[in-house]
Amino acid sequence: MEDLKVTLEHLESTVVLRAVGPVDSTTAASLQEPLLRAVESSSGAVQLDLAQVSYLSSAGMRVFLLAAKALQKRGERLRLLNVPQQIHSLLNLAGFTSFIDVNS
Amino acid sequence: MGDSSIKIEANIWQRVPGADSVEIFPIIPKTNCISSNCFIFSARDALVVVDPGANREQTRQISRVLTDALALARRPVLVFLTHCHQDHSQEAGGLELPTGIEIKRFAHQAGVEAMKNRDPNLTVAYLYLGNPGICAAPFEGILFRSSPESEPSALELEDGRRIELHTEPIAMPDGATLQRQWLLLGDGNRLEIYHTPGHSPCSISLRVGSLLILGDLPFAANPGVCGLNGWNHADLLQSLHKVNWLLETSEMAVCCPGHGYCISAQSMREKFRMMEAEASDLTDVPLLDAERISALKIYVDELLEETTALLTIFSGRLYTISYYLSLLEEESAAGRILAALDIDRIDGILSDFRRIAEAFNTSAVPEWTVVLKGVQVARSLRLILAAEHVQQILNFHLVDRAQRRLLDFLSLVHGLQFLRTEQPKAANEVIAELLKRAKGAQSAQSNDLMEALDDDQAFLQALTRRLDTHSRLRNIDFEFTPAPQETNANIGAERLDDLLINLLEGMAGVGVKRINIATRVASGQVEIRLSSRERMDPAAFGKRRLDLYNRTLGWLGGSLECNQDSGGAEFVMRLPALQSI
Repeated sequence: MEDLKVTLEHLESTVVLRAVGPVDSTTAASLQEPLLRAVESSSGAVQLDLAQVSYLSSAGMRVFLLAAKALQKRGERLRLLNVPQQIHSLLNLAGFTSFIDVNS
Repeated sequence: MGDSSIKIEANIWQRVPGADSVEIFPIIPKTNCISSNCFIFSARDALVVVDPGANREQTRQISRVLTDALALARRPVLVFLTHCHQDHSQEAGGLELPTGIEIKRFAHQAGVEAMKNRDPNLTVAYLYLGNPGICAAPFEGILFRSSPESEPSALELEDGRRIELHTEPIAMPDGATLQRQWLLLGDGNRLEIYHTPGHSPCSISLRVGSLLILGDLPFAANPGVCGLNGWNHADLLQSLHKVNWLLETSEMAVCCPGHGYCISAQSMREKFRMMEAEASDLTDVPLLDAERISALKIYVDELLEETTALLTIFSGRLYTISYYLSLLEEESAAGRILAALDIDRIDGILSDFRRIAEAFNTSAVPEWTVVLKGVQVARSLRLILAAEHVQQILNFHLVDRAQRRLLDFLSLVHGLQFLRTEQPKAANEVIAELLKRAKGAQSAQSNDLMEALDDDQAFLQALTRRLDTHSRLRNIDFEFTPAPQETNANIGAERLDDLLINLLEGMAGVGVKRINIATRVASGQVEIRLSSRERMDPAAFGKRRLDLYNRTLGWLGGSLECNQDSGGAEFVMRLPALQSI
């Protein structure tokens, strides 16, 4: 069974998290905890690199939503980097690209 | 009839209803198709084991339970199989008993012969990984022999006692005959055996007191089960009718299936009524052989990807609505929207299924398991999506599209020819309606919003609907060039609409802004082109999803092509024109 691993890097005022593995109902908590902690503890931008994410379910979208809502309170937007095409398409069709910055 | 309050619990000895001096010890594993339930009876003259199953750990448990019971009173052990399928029979020779304990095995003649001949078909051993061993243990008790007069009806035990097998058919009021055999268990208690074919020709049901063990008869009409080698439609309908009559007329209290928990006889009768209705349509079910199971497994993979994509978009739209409602400080409305659909449950079901499919890819589970799990998932999702409040949350047919794919899958596993029952419509008309729907949604909902200004609740609902129509098609610039001729094609209108929406939304999802749609009729084919000047990566659609669309069109005699060059990209859908069929 594939696990999700999340690493964190501080680049000047930006926090970059890198996720590796599937984000589904069994692994989403492994992303939620460090992502929300990064959002709460940083006053700068928060970026999440999805280059190595093989699969995203609605549980992953929920994590993005929570982070986006928290960032919106201080006028920031969550930025997703290196989003695989298939996941980008899902986020686009679900309307997430209207409140999250998504870069393929 | 019967007492519906009687409960049969797993893993403890308890009295058998209607036979006070007989006890039962049920072993009921988590429902699976690898190994069956096992029921152990303790009577004065014998211990009876029904369906040892196919799991070594379960066999060890059965051996321990028998050994403990034998320590209290030494008796022969009689093993019965409800049928010879591998998940019920594989361990019939594996029980470990104290020295000197005699064991006799019983099964229907057809099952005994199948096991003796190492028949992978009737034992369905072909469904399981790594050619599992078919039970090679001797079966001394051959039930319902085709020529009973030529064989002895009693088994001699080493201590000189005899097990008499009596044959006594039951004449039913409608003229039918229920084949019955029985033997005595002591203290006047009988073990009655009924021939109930359909799931398999060797299927039997067993009765002690007012408890009836049915083997896999209650599942015989299920998709992924009907059509297995030995399955017979006419026999199944007859057996359902006969057992239903038995339940109705003979004070039966509890029914125990071959997989899952025991239920009251009343509940089983209700299940049988539904089964009879379902099974009556199952004529011409194709054989569910290894080749068909492999094809279904590929279809399961494709269905999983398609359904997951649709439901993830569906859930994501609800999250998007909740985000904007939160911005409008409508937190409670945002919460209500998310509570209306159990997104986490849907996600959990799909995630579990994905992991089982992945386990198959590492050869940890057999293909048949994946197909049966697919059936279970499709049924669960259909129930969730059928709830009225879910239908009211979102428009734009996402729920209906997901429902149709799930139903397609169940129909196909059943072996039903669903494609022949659909109503076709001219492709030009389907496309025109689709574009009208995509473009018309916005203005209609703007009016809703204006009309609801004086009512807070209505305004919120209208706002929710408006936020929901974040359909990417609304922002696409379409140009439609219809063919001047008739464009009736061999495809149902809803299916064509689903395929077109999936492809168009897929194009929108990868950022295409302008799409030309053209229809053409040539060489007896209706051709639909969806073209863009922009390049797009077909991988973004998901290979399996495109395979699924191509396969669906292939069933209809058509095809789907995806072409790409420096000038842009296009999908070309070809279908036989209806008049040419």
